[in-house]
Amino acid sequence: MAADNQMVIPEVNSFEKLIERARDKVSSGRKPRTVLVLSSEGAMFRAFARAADNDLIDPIIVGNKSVFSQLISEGNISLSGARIVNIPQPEQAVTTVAQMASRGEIDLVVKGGRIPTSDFLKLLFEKNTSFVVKGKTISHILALKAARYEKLLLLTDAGVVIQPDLKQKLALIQNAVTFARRVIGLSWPRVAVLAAVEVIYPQMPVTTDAAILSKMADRGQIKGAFVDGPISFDCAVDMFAARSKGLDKSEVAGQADILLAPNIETAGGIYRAMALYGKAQIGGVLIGGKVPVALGARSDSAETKFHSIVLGVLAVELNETPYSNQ
Amino acid sequence: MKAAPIHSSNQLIERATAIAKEGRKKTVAVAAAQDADVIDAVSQAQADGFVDGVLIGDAEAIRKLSDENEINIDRLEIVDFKDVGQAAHHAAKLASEKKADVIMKGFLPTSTLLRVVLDKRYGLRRENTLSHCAVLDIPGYHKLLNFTDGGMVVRPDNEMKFQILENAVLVARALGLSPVKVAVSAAVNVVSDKMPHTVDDTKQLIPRAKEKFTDIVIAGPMTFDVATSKEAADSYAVGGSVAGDADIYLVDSIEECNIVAKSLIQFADAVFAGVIVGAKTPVSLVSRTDTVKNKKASLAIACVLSDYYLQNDIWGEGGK
Repeated sequence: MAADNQMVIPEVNSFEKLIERARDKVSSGRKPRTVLVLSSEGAMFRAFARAADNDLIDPIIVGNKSVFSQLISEGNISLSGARIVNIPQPEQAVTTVAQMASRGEIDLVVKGGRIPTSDFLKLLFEKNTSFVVKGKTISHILALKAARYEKLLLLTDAGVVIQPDLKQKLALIQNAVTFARRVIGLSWPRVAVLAAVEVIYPQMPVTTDAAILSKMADRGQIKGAFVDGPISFDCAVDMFAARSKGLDKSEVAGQADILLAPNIETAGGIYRAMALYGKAQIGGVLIGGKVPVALGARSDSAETKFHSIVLGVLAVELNETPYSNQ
Repeated sequence: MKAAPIHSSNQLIERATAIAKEGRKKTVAVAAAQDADVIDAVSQAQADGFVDGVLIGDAEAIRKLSDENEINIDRLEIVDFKDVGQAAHHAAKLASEKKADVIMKGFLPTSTLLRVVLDKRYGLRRENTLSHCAVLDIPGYHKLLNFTDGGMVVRPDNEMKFQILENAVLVARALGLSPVKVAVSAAVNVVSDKMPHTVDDTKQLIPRAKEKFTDIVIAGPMTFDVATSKEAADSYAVGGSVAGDADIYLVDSIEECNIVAKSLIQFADAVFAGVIVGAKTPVSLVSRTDTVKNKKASLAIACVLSDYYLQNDIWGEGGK
């Protein structure tokens, strides 16, 4: 396939379409049993209630009942159908949820804001909970619709893997490609391996890793996607910038679907910059564990929290039919 | 009279123009000027009245490009050097003879230009680190934000990171900011053993900066949203005067800085002024994909910085 430098716009290119897709999916099957754990924010309860009202989830709330009952009544939030599990002790609440996931009693977890993400993940990933599936990498995927870009962008990893080595980058790409293909419905996603430059410098490992990953895709070691890098942010999403740097032949430049960031600082920086100044719609989800976890930042808007739940609902599919990293 | 602090790219261009009107108009030496976008930027800045220009490079190509692109170069000087290395040397020579205040990169690799600028014979640098400052005017943020370093230092150690901060503080002072509010970047708002730079920043960089500079307030580790939004700062319960009001975002890796800044330029309409700091002569870099506004802002910040150096004898015997 030759690149003709015309951006291909996939069918699912907005959060509205994702919400539709989630509705279709749920209406033809079972509503995912979804646990909201440790929330103390009105915004999160509103997002959770919105998902329940839209018949997207079967709601369960785990945490300190006296805390959240008060919040729900104060905020006039209707969560009448929710099952409630009262576990006042935060650590125990997370551990219980992880165990529920391992026993197959729930399909989706929504993280509340009462606990820092790193502490939450540590509890969730503890060995005795079996939340971690052997041989699978758990990674965070952020879906982002910027006003200035015609497609949804998937960005990884802003949540779990701090400084991925080559092997981890490979797993992050594979998780994101699986997500793009099965959850978003992209047939052949375009993965940009981000760097500060478009050329390879031996003294910049980010660029040499990117070159290796691109070649692995060429040789069929990464399946189902175009992979190109090193590539700068502007060249990944802007055809004009891509052309000016001579990347005309790239299948990815100017029209990326997936952005692999070199580290968590970069992914987190894009995420927060776009949420604040990019007029972007955003949602985040953790995949690769026993069940998906809707997971964003504490500073997320209620809209973003809702989008994260929608992504989680869609991602449940990945766990219904076991998938390998390839 | 002390100039008012500069909080936007428009104010930056206004300030460069005011400096010229006060009789201190700067001259930019363009190394390998055979690049239509660069010629256009200099021509427009010259028309705006804040800079004079010397186009050093392939004179024939410069004239041809200007004709083809209808760029007026009548009031710009042209010096003919076909070889890009020689053109760079001539630009550095003009700067060392104080015939040019700013060097601008034309059609040659950045590394070639910098090697020449750093050549000892021109005396344009000391032993300190050169770094790149991307000063962004982000719609929705109430002031300029200096992202550094996304262009020069590939893997800064603690010492280099401190010098990157020093350079950024010079720029902030040139912009008339006081106190200068510095946020030290991280993916989280707490110190984490799993992110070693958060430990180094907290134990070394921040205390050292507090000791050395009396006109800055520095805090971190801080995520981007907390550094630039009071609301986000509140949601993470991060207090202090830097959160939500940062002037400088000191970033740990060239990738983070470059990629996040470009995401803001690409998707948030941020205007970008980029300059290399740390030599006696500011070096202005623009890329082909920059808008005219970006290019003019980049020239303007180099002029404002050069004027600050001169007025305050920053690189004189007193040192910086």
